[in-house]
Amino acid sequence: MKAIIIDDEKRARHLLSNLLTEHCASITNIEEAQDLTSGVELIKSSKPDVVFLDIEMPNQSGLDILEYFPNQIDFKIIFVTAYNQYAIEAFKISAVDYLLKPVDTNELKEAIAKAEEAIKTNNLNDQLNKLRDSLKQLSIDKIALEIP
Amino acid sequence: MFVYGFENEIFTFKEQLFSTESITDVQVDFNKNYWFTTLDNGVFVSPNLNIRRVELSNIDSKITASVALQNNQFVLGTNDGKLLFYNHNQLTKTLQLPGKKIIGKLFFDAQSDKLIVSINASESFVVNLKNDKILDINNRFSVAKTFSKIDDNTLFYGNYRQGIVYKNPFNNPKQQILKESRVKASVVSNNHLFVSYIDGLYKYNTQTFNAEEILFNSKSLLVNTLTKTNGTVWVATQHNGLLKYENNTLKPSEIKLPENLQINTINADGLVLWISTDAGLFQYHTKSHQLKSLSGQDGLNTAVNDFLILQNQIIVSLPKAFYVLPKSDALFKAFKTAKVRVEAVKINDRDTLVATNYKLPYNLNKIDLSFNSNGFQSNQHVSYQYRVKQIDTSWQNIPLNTHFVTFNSLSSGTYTFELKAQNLSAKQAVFATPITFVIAKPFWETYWFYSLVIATIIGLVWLYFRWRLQQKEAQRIAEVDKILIDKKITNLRLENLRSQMNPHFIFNALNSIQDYIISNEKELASSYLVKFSRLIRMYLDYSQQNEITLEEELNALKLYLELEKVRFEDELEYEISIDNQLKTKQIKVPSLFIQPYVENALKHGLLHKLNDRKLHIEAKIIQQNKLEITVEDNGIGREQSEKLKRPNQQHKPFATKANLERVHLYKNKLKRDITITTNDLYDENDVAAGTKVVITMPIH
Repeated sequence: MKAIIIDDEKRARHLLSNLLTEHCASITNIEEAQDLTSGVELIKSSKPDVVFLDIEMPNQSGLDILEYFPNQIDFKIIFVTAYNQYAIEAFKISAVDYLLKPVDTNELKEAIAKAEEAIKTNNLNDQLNKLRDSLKQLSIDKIALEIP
Repeated sequence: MFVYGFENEIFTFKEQLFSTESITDVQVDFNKNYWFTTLDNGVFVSPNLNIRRVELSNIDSKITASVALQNNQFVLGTNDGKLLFYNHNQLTKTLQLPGKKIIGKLFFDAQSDKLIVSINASESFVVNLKNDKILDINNRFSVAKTFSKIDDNTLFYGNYRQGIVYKNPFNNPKQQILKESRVKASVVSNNHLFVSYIDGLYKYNTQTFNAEEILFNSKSLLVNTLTKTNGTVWVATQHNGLLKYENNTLKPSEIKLPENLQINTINADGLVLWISTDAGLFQYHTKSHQLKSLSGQDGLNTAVNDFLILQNQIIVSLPKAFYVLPKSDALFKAFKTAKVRVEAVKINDRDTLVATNYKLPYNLNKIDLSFNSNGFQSNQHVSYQYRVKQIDTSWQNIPLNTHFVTFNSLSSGTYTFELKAQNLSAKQAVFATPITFVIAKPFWETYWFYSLVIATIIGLVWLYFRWRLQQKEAQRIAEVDKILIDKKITNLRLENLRSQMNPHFIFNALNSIQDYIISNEKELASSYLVKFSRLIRMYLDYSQQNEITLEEELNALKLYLELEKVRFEDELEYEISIDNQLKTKQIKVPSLFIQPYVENALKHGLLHKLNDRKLHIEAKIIQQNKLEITVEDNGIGREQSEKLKRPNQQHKPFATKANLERVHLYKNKLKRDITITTNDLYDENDVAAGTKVVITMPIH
């Protein structure tokens, strides 16, 4: 899985990437951005599976990310923040998890697991959707076939 | 001056008076005093025309003895051995004793028509009035004090050392000495001879001459003079007044003579007693008990000693003259008292007009009253008495010859001064018009003053209690206020602590520590942790106190900035400059007061800037006793920061909000005027270039 860490504090990014490399084997690639604008650029370019997002950042808050992805978000967001005052807002934008600094490694592992699960479900849904779509297509074809 | 009788329309010549004077006018006043004005010799006054004074002007002798003869005849004995015989006040003959002897006592024996002449030496004579022959009888009756005829042949003779009874006193006298003692007086009554010696009064039976001493209250008596009326012996004593001896008992007489008046001589004339004193002559009727007097204002202006009672006259003998008083009723005048008037009223020694009513203030309370009753010699013969109603119940005597009464400091009230005057010889007193004095109460004794004082006291008490209540109320309110303030301060302190304990800061700091640990940077982790814990400790400490020193405050700030610098990855330049004059160890500031503004500068200003973050904190003194702290950053400015805020984000600037409340509290309750101004900074291109917060507070 590919992960992007967006946090204005270098030390926080450093810590999180260290923890991920140490404890989460499923994360294979980690990239970092120091504010939201550069983070969004990075997301768009490298299509990560998971984004670790800080909320309190200069210029723009992490919660503003929806503005950049008005349609479907095809990556999982895990908020990493120092204070839990934004938790409700965070879940409104269907975040996978909400981690509090300093980060508990177990919580981090669970959050990664949740993300993986969600991705899998997403994939299954996608496949089912595709099947449904193709079935629809098939029935249309069928009807078309029957007429001639 | 000729006196005529007027009867049956015929004037009859009576007598001529003042034969040597030229009389111009005669006036008779209300007391029947005759006033004669003369042409060249002043004014004569005759209080009683009936009383005549006869002067012995043509001889050098002095009268030393006198005795009444028959009818209206009498004899005067002189100090040079002359015997002056008078009949109806006319000198009829003069006899000269052999030698110029002082005649001490005369006694007339009517039975033998002989006159005993006692000389104040061892000599005596008998004058036969039939032929005026003078017989020298040596010392038979010498230095006599008294004679009393006991019967036809018996005579009592008392001298300076013996009481003697003579049988046949003129021919072959037989002498019987009754007692060897100085004799003063004697009288015979009811077959008894009463003799007063200087050591007692004795009563002798005229047959046996048995002696019996008459005692008064079991004491011997010293008797000056004795006389008798029908069955009564009158005893004038030296110390016990006038007594009378009746039915073998001695008792005080009921005659009311003026007090302390010594009786000189007492003589009886039938039922009438004549009493001579230094204050004049008195007449007492033993049956009617009437007492009449003759004194100075009757023209008898001298003390009366010896006097004789004749058939129609009383002769009062003086050394160089004698008075002739008729025994008729005309002798005694009915005296009246002239109208008495208050003549002057002095109030506090100032003369005022005489009125019947005075209303005076309380301090005009010394009152002198002068008064007078006119009349001849009224000074000596009019007595005044006064009575002040409400003070006196009885009349107060004023000493004779005093014409004023003084009342010193009368207290407030109403006084009626009544005055009466009475001639000493008058029966009726006359009254002056009463004068009323109303002396007002001083203002502090009046009712309205009392009520004013009471009202004032009540008022003061009421005011005092009201003041006390108000004070208590105020105290209570102050206490409540204080509790409220304390509570508020406590709350604010907690809030302040919470604001210092910014969770982001704490958790970010902890996060940094975790990173150090994970990165295996032991030293850094340790030092960071130490700094962090030190800061937390400071916060906990200082938030307990209302005020800390500026130094403590700045130290906390330094530590905070140090930790923040780590967070900002060293992309933060901060400077704390302190004025040298500041005594940071002494100046007290509200605890952890500056830090929220620094945090604001970091969070809202510098956080959103990527580089060149600068923070300048300055503490200095401006004016006197005023501390100014400036927190200046070069951040994005308040305007930009406001835009970055998420619209739905609940902004909780509770740190500075709490601070503003603290400022309010300090200002209102603790009278410490702290001001906070926030200024936006712009660069030369009018672009926002940061924020400057200026805090000023007075230093204690």
